[in-house]
Amino acid sequence: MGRGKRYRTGRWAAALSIALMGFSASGLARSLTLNAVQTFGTIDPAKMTDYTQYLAVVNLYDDLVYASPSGKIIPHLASSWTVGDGGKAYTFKIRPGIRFHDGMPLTAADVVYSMRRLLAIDQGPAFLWQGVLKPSGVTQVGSNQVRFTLIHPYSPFLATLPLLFVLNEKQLVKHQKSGPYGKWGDYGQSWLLNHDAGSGPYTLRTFVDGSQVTFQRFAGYWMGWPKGAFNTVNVIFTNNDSTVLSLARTGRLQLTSQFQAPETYKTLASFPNWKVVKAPSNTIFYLKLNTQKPPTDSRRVRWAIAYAIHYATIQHSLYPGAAPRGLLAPPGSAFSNPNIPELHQDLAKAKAELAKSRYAGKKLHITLTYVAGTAFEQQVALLLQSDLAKIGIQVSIVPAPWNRITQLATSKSQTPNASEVFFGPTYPSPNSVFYTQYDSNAPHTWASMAWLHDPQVNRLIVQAQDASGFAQQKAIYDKLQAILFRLMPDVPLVVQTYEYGMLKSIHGYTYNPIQSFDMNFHNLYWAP
Amino acid sequence: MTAVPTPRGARRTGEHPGWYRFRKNRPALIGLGLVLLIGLATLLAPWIAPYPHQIGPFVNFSAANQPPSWAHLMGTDTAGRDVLTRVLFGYRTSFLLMLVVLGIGVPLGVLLGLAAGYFGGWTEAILMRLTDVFLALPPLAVVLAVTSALAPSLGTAMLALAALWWTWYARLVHGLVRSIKKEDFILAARRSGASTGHILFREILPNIISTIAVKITLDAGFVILLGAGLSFLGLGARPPTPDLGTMVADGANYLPEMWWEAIFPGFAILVLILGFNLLGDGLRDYFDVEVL
Repeated sequence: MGRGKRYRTGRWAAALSIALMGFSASGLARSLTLNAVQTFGTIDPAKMTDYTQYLAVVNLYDDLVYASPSGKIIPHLASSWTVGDGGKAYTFKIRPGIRFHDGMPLTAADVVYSMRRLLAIDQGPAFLWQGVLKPSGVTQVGSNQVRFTLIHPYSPFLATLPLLFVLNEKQLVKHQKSGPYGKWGDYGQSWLLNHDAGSGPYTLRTFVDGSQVTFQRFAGYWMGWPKGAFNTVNVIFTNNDSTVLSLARTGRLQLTSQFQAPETYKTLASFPNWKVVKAPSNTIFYLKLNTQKPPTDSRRVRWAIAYAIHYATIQHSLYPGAAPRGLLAPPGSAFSNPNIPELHQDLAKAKAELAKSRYAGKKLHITLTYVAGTAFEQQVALLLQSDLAKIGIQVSIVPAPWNRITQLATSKSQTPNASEVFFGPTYPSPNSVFYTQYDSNAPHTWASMAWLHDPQVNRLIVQAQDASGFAQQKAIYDKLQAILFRLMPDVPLVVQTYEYGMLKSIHGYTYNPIQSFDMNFHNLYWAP
Repeated sequence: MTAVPTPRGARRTGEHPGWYRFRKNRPALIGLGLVLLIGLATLLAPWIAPYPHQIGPFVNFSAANQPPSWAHLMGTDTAGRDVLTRVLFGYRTSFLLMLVVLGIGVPLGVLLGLAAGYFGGWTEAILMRLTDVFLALPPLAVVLAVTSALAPSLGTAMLALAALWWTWYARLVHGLVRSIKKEDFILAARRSGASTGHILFREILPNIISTIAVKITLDAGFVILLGAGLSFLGLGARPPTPDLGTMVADGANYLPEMWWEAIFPGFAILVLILGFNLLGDGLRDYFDVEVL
């Protein structure tokens, strides 16, 4: 049914897009439109936490250092650096000749201002440096160097610096309002609600969050531009797969989000001028289990759940990706523990775990939440409901919008027993995975919905932070992964494979291990 | 009601004149047929649905998204469940919603309307101003607010709707009572020493019950539609409970490729509401109710 018709529609769309292509290739207004599955909320580098926020910031600003696809820290605003004082003093030399969007030169003073601002506002990535770096430890040295003097050695420090984005101090001082930060007023926060103060490849042209967001190419970008770069990038907001398909079909969308349903990618791949680009990632799709709420407060019950799930269905058809081995992805990477096995469904073992738990013989009931409107997450929820029914656990499915889930996550008692959540490291270090999600001393967020409170886990996370050298860190992380696997606070369901549908003539997509850095539009260009 | 025109072919002797009059109203008859048919299918769903085990926690992803065939007359959904089965059981959710909302809203509204209309004075002033306040609230917005503040579930949605629905009946009954409480038969009953309860429930109520019945029939479709709208917005029955509005919302993700997942449940809603509306229109003509 409908096959012939679909083919015809496809051909019309192709003809239309070819016509549009001819127009945009010859004209100056080459633009790219992509969809985001959620609104931005904030575009302030001191407040970013989720994927859309990182996407905006990485395009509007430059960070001190950058990460290569393999996770190696490479020079960016800083052209070089030295580490001294037993791993406590990091000195960065700032590249000369870089200009902000308003034409002012970017200097070491701007870097100092940006880090102090981040620490003062104490949101977004600031938790990474709390207890490690004081505002007074950030100083300018000479005319073009910045020094960070740490309170104690902290091995992931360099790996966290791609999250230090540099803002234009003079511009923000000009626009700051009165606020709680003394002479810095509100640190320009209200102005940054809908402006940017960066030096990044794109500037903000319009920002009406949730309806119209447009980025404009910054011609004076210090890294130069590839031929065929996009002059404007528009973001539209929808997580509805049929809307995405119809926009793609009519040529009004050229690039999809990475969160579409497998059926949608299949359909897009069948369009003659579309392709689906895949990249293995270090993001895991977890089932986060609330370890402080009955009955998932029992380790045995958590393992029963882990044994009951039919992983192959998820990994092969619902959300195709690799099988995780423990909580660190991708399996086989430098720090991942090779002795941790993949999980497989084993109903006999699941029942045995239940029988040994303190809830043995009781009627168990758990709540499960996922992001409402996300088709594959709903399918996973139905699968879990059916799998867990086989071992006698009744599941209530409560879909909720993402902002509601983040709100529920702030309270132990309101956090559901189980939540379907993606988590990818926000900087290239295992510390991002373990500290953010499982250290009970870390600030609590949606990432720590397991509410794990385990002194040994906390201790090992700190030990790894203090450790110097790969071998020593690796030994600690191996042990930590084994302990976490045994505790099973989160069930790793699948390692996400990034999938983007895009026009065949869009090139330059480059995977990056940091959340949304692969959507740095500076990499993308048009070549028919 | 005007006199019935002379029919073609004489009326069979022994047939109830009311039924005859109703029978001549073709659309009303179709409406009654639809409602009865769907009601019966809903009652018998466990026996007539092809795959009744697929309404619980069941998934079969290897049979997902199959177009309509002899095995699955309405195809299968993204979890491999038979759409026809889920439509039949989805009707149960719709009927349940309707019964609960009207079952709470109608008696409450009728009682308050009777009291306000009959007693007058302060009772009337307070009750009717309260009714006005509730009538000013847009039902969908209120239900959205209530269900998102409490847990989004079918139960909450039903209670929120019921809490708003009585107002229409209160106002309707209030008007009817006011217009007939000065009639001679009421005065006669009062003079002869009948109790207030007797007058309200034995004299007044039987005289307005037909109007209420018509209103209920017309409302049934509207409640079901509003319920479907709520489920479409994600505030209805929790999965895996089959729910027509939820099925349309989920299926809409896959339009137009997998059209059967949204179109059939949508059509199912349409047919039931059409049935209730045709029936309601027919009853209105039959009882010659003009206030609605």
